Parts: sequence; structure tokens; C-alpha cells
Amino acid sequence: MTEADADAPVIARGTGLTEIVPATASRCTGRTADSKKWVSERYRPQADRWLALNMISSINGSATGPDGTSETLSNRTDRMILGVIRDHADAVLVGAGSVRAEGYVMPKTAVLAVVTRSGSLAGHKLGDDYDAERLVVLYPAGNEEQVLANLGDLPCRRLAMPGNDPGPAEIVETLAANGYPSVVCEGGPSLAGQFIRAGQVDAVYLSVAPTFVLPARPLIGGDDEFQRWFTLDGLLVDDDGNTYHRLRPDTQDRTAA
Amino acid sequence: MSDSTLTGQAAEIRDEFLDLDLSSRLELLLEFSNELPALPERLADHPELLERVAECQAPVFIVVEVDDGLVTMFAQAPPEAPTTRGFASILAQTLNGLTVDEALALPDDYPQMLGLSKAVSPLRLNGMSGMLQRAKRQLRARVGR
Repeated sequence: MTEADADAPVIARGTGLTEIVPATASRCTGRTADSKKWVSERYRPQADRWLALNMISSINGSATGPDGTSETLSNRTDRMILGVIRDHADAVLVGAGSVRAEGYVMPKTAVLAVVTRSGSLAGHKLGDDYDAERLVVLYPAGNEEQVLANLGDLPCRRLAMPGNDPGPAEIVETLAANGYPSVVCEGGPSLAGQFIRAGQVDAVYLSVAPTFVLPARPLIGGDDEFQRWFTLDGLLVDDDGNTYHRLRPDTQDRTAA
Repeated sequence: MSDSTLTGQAAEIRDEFLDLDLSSRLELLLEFSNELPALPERLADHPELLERVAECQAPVFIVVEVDDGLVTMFAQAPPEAPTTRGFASILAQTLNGLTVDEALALPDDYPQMLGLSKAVSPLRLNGMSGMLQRAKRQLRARVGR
């Protein structure tokens, strides 16, 4: 690995990031505006309509640390990258379970889009001073009565999806039709698994923390037999050994080959 | 939520905290505390060059230098006091590389802008305010203002 190249922004003390794939060995250090710009160029969506899946994992594939949240796998650099990815998105998409478990804070510019079957967001930690238009609740039209009853007077934008059992395609379609074509899905595992299986993912952004964790909670949910290959588009590594992968769905079926 | 008077690294660090829920802000503070570098040898061997921050219960020492018009703050705080050490690290990362004018323009209530008032005791926040005030006083003394 070479030292910092001449053009890389070297700004302040802090954890550096080195680009491994493509093999430029370009580096950025610190978490300043220049570093964010450096990262932002690498995470820019490649189409107006875009669905990226953003995940963090331990070495053994756990989506959460021992405390049951992803926070104990994350670090400052990972959160900086998360912020950049969110800045590129119109909507941050999560399952209702994640909002209850993870203590979400509203994204700075994107809306927070929460998928729920029941409308129960009890225990959310969004605070009470957010802009109601920036919390979007997506629910099946077939379950509207129960959802609206459970939501009560929660300040939010309510978006019904067609049918009783809408899947990833309906989620993406509903978001795009309402002004949110660029989406980053942050899980949880069940929602992430649905998107992977449905082939509705344009990119996977995966951070891997160099730690083994038990009990392990799988990155994606689902019990049925399934495999899908991805191609590595980009790889950054920070000075603490955390790796940041950018993957896109393989266009070829490797299993058949 | 954002305070427009903050710029550069000070604003970045403030936003980094405000983007998190309360318990995660404490974890971030711990991460900052792990990032405080050891004193360079020339200072480690001459503790008399550092000023004790009396507002902190833990033994915290700082010194601010100006080289080519740019500010560098060094700090020493024990690992056993991670909150205070985290504050010292935040302040060092905020001030380092600023011009003297930029550093002196950092609002005195910067510690209160980080969204930590419900997570740490007022005594500790006052400790960080003490660090900032002493850093500014050292700066003024160095440039004769």
C-alpha cells in the first residue's frame, strides 16, 4: 500500500480511509468537509431511481453487537459514511422494528420512511420536535383501519401501498410516486432480506467491523433456500481495520457456471 | 437545530453528536476519548509547560501553541476519566489547525451545543467550558491580545 497520494485531502488528526478497490490507494484522513466530499464521490447513486441497501456486520455476519443494536459495531468513520449515503438519498427506508429497537434520529435532509403492517411504532425514539412531513409511514392499504388506529395522532405523512401484502416493488414504487426516487434501506434483517430476494437492490453498502459477536443476528432474514451473487465495485478500509464494501448485483449466474 | 455561528470542524463535531440519540452520544464521547493522542516528548518531559484545568475534577492539563499562525492544542487527561478526556479530545480536534482569530471566535458555550447536557453532569460540562476558556486565555497571551 502506498502512502497518501498527492491529491488526497489530508486535513486533521483522525482515522484515515484508504481506497483498495479500485486500487488507487488514494487516502482521506479526518472527518471534515473535504473527507466527506471524497467519500461522497464514491457513494454517489448511479441513477435517479436508486435503491441502496446499507448494512453493517461483524466478521461472523452478525448485524448487531452483543447489546442487540448495530451501534456497538459502528464507529465514527462508519457514521460519517452513513451520513454521506443518507445525504444522497431522498428517503431512508427502515422497518418499524428497527425504529423501535435502534433509537433512530431523523436524517438531516432525507425523509425517514418506515414500513409497517400494523402501524405500531410504540417505543420509537424520534423525539417530538421533528417535521411531520419528514416522517413517512408506509402501510398496506388492505390494513388501513388498524394502521390508522395504531398511528393515532403521530405526526407523519401516511402513504398506503396497494393490496394486503405489498413487497419491495410496491415500496419502491410508492416512494418514487411520492417524490422519493432515491432510497437507502437500512434494514432491519427482514426488510433487507425481502429486497435482496426480490432483486430490487441496485447497490449494497456493507461495513464490516473486525470483531466476532455472539449472539449473532443474521444480516438478512428468511429461511427459504436462496443465493444471489454480487460484484465488488468499491472497497475502502480505515486505519482500525473496518472495511466498507460497495457491491452491485451480479449480472451473471455464477452458480450455473 | 444547527447553530449557524459554528463553522468547520466545530460544526462537524456538533452535528456528529446531534445526529445520534442520547446513549450513542456517550459512546461517541468515549470514541473521542480514545482518540486523544499522547503528549509529544518535549511536553511530556516538561509538565510545567502545561496548565492544570482547575474546573475539572480529574487531573487535566492543556497547552496551546501557535505555529505559522495556526493553533495546536495538546492535552493530557487520564483514561480513568473518559468523559473529561473525551472533552479534551473534542476541543483539541476542534481547535487544531484554526487560525488564532478562528479559535478565539469559537463560542464560549460550544460545550453546551453538543447535546450532552442530559447525558453528563453539569460539573463535567463546566470542566469543558473551563478548558475552552483557558485555551483562549493562553492564545490571547501568546499573541499579545
